[in-house]
Amino acid sequence: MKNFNYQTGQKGEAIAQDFLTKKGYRIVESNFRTRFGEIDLVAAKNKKLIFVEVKLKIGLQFGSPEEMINHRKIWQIQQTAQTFLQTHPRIAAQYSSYQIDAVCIVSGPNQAIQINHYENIGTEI
Amino acid sequence: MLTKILSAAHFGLKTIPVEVEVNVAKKGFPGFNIIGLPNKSIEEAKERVKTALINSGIEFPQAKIIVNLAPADIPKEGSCYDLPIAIGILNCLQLADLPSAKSFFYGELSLDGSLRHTKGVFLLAVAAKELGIENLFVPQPSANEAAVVKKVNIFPVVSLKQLMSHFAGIEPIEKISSTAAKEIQEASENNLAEFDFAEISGQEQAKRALEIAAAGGHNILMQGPPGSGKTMLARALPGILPSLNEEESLEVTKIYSVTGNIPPGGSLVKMRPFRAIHHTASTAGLIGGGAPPHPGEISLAHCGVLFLDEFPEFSRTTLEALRQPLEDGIANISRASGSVKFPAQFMLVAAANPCPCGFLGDSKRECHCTPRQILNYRNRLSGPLLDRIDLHINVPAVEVEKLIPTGRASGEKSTKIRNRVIQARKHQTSRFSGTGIHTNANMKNKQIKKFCHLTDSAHLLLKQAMNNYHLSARTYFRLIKVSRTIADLSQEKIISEAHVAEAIQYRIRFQEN
Repeated sequence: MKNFNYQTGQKGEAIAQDFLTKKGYRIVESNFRTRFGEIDLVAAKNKKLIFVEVKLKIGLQFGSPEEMINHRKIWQIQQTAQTFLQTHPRIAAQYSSYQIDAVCIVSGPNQAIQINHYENIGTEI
Repeated sequence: MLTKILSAAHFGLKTIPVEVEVNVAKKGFPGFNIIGLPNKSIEEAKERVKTALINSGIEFPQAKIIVNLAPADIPKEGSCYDLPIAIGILNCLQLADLPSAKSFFYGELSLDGSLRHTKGVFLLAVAAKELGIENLFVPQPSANEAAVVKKVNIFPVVSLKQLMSHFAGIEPIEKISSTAAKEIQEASENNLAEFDFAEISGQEQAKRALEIAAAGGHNILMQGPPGSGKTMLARALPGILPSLNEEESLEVTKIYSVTGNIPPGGSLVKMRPFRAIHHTASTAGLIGGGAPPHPGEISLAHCGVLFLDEFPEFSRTTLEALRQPLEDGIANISRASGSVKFPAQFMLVAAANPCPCGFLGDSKRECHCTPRQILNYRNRLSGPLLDRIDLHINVPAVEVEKLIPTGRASGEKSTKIRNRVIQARKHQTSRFSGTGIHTNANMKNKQIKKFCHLTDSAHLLLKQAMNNYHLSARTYFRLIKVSRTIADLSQEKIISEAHVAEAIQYRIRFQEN
């Protein structure tokens, strides 16, 4: 089961990476881990460093991916992002502003995939 | 899209309109937020509204929903905003067209989409009339409370689905016809006293004193050994109290509505309140308190009886806090968040033992208490507090001969005594109409001057009693009030010597033994 969840996550991140690259984002790093938590993707566009949380749900019977992102999750991403900026001063110096995005993916039957990209969710919820 | 729905918040017995602003935005990260100083029960409305909408067959929108309760600087509490929030969301989704006339929406939602009994609907209806709001959408179990108020359209709502089909014009909800307060009043004459006075053997003097107390709303203290029937007498008291008149009923209903003491489907309170309080009661529980302030037991006993059994066992601070409400008939609660006034014109009925072992002054059994113990026990009740109690009576142990049933009836039935009390109260109602005073006990000096005319010999007797027993000025006026009630009971206009003498007799006993 754990392995299955991990694979789902990997699949989701692959889809998101694809999606963002097509939108013109540059992927800086993926799966950055600290003891607080993990940032799925770190991307860059227009002099902005963007921390992306990726959520994949297979089917909607256990709720939408949006419901899984709450206050605590955002706080966790903010903490992890701080650590990222401190441990990568050279990358941090290249960008003037930072932002947290969410990419929510719902995969249905027959390979149908729906992707929602929410920008700058750090100030919301 | 933005919608504004009118609802209301209650502070003390005041009602303030609250605008529930609902914004459903398709842009932005989906979420559901409530702002405007909500407390936990409103915060939880999110889950109730969401589930109720889904269970009513509506797809909950994946959108950024913000609810603002304006004015935003007043803290709000309660579950009454569920309905306005749900209607606001439905309106934003264009699933419900709101009526053009000003309407109040008020009520708690159940998870299945039906509406639950919500407290404070009566106050809401009164406020709607004052503010000129035409329509009232309230839960069906609470609608009878609102029905008392005339000139407001009251729609009893069973469920969200029903309300939606009402707005769509498919199946309109039928308005409740406003029931005149009088009709409800006359419908009930039943009494729910635990005992009948006829069941209580002996204690003729105590019964007479309770009759006077009930007729004039006077405070009374019963003292006697354990098992003599003090509690039984007090429990029989509701049986001789008249039901509330229209004006009183409206006042009591306000307090009962805001504290959620009206059962689902209930309307006006017609029974005179009888509140028996355990001696572990806290000061805030008795007088009222909290933030925002809630009414206490003395306000729940407004126009009725507050029964404090084991009077000296109450904590000192709690008892002393009773002093000011006993005098003014108002509980004034001041907190940092604001001060609130609740009406508290209650009749205090207290029961106590004369000493810790209970047998001081008993003719058969010996008291085992030391003088020190007795003194300590007495000191628990302060002079100023006892000064505010008009009738002090002894309830001695009943003689065994009186307990054994004989052929004839032991005493008067409650209904018979009640009729005399009703007669006496009728005089008072006509006397005090329009003054906000209900009973002789609540008279101020102005009314005493106007309504209490004593014969010369009665005056003389009163003067002698004052000098002999060194009574206070307050006692003087209280004696006149009790005499007025005794005169009312015997249907006399002028207070005579006999009436004053009886009043004095009830006052002196406590100080003697």
